[in-house]
Amino acid sequence: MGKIFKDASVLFIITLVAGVLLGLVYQVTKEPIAAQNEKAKQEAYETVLESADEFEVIYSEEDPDQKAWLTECLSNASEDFSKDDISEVVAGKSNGETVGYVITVVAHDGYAGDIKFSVGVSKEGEFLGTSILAIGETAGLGMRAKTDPSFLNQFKGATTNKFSLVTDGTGATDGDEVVDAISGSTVTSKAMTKGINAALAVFEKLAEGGNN
Amino acid sequence: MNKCVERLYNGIIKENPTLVLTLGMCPTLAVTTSAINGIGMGLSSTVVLVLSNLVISLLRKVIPDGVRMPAFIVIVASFVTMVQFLMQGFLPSLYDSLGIYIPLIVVNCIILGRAESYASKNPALPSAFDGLGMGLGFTIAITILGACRELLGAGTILSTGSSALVDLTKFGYTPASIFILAPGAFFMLAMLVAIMNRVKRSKGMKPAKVPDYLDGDTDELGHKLGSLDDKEEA
Repeated sequence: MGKIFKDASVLFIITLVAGVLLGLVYQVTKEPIAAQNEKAKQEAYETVLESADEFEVIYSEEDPDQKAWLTECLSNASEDFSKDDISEVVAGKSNGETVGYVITVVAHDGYAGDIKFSVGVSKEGEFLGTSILAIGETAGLGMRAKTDPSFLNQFKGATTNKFSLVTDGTGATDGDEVVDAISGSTVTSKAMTKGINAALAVFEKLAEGGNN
Repeated sequence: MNKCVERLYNGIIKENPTLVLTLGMCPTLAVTTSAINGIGMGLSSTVVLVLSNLVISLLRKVIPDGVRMPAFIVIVASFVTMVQFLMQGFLPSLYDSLGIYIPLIVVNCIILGRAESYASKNPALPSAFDGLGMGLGFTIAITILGACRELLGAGTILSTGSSALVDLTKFGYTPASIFILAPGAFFMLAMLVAIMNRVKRSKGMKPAKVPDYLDGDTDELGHKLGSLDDKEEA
């Protein structure tokens, strides 16, 4: 009987000390981590929407009403976006004027888990660029979406509400709505193209005046 | 001091955790799609191995036998989480490249294995060096594995997208994607283990032994498998 109490109390003390230390480290690193995440997001926004100098969150999935609106945008679209989620919509402003939107998408149908990326669309509907925030695809295959910019560059400059993906090499020209898949990584290419189309579906609703 | 050098040699060559003990197969097979992944996973595991071996060795007389496993796991998991927080907050660029491997370290059984089989029975300094040796052995093995898979499967070594240390695709090599997919991990690992056995034999050491499944009496086989299971659990 005495042994079990001794064992339990030693284990209790170890977990207690570990817990307290973890709490301390968490407290110390909480602020810097939040600042780093914010900085990474700002940088992503700035890459995809260069003309804006400040960014204002207009829809966020953390707000239930706004989340419902974002989900509705996707479910009413012509394509099936059940594997995509919009996590945030940000308006990019320059001198107080809205110049475009940055839409952050999470595509759940990547080859190895979720792909999270931000896309920039100008107020006029021109597609300005994509910045990948989180990706875990196979190195050398799907990961080329991030390491080799030629895939994402194909989207840049197009004014369309839907990109279509081809695997026969006919989409080679940049700036139109037909894009070439990354060879050997069709799943990743599809997931990203669909995610981008989901963002464009939301943009269309935004251009119509959002949910106001 | 000799003991410490012996521990390094033991971890890197004699009892290389990946190629001889075949511990920690999950991260070995899963993350070695490129050389840089191997380096990242290996080095972050090494840091945790040294720290956890050190602390567990210092506490080896305090931790009762009956609760040693939960105690080890708490210590290892706490270190992993602390390393993750600190890296994320203060070394964001390093976290960007290694971040995805850090949670995987907790489930790396090399760490628990060394805690159980070495650190819990030996003094602090050799234990820390045991962790360093094992960590470096793991790093070297999975970096080589990653480099081979990357070379055959993508045609490059240490590729950053625009530039690479070695780029065979420039010389007309068509990458065989199977090597960066799951089956390639098993092919390459088997070849590396075979090479390692050859190296060990040439140095007069016994190669890794496989239990004899075909003949030999069943009791003995059960015993052998049982002892293998014990090792795995450790």
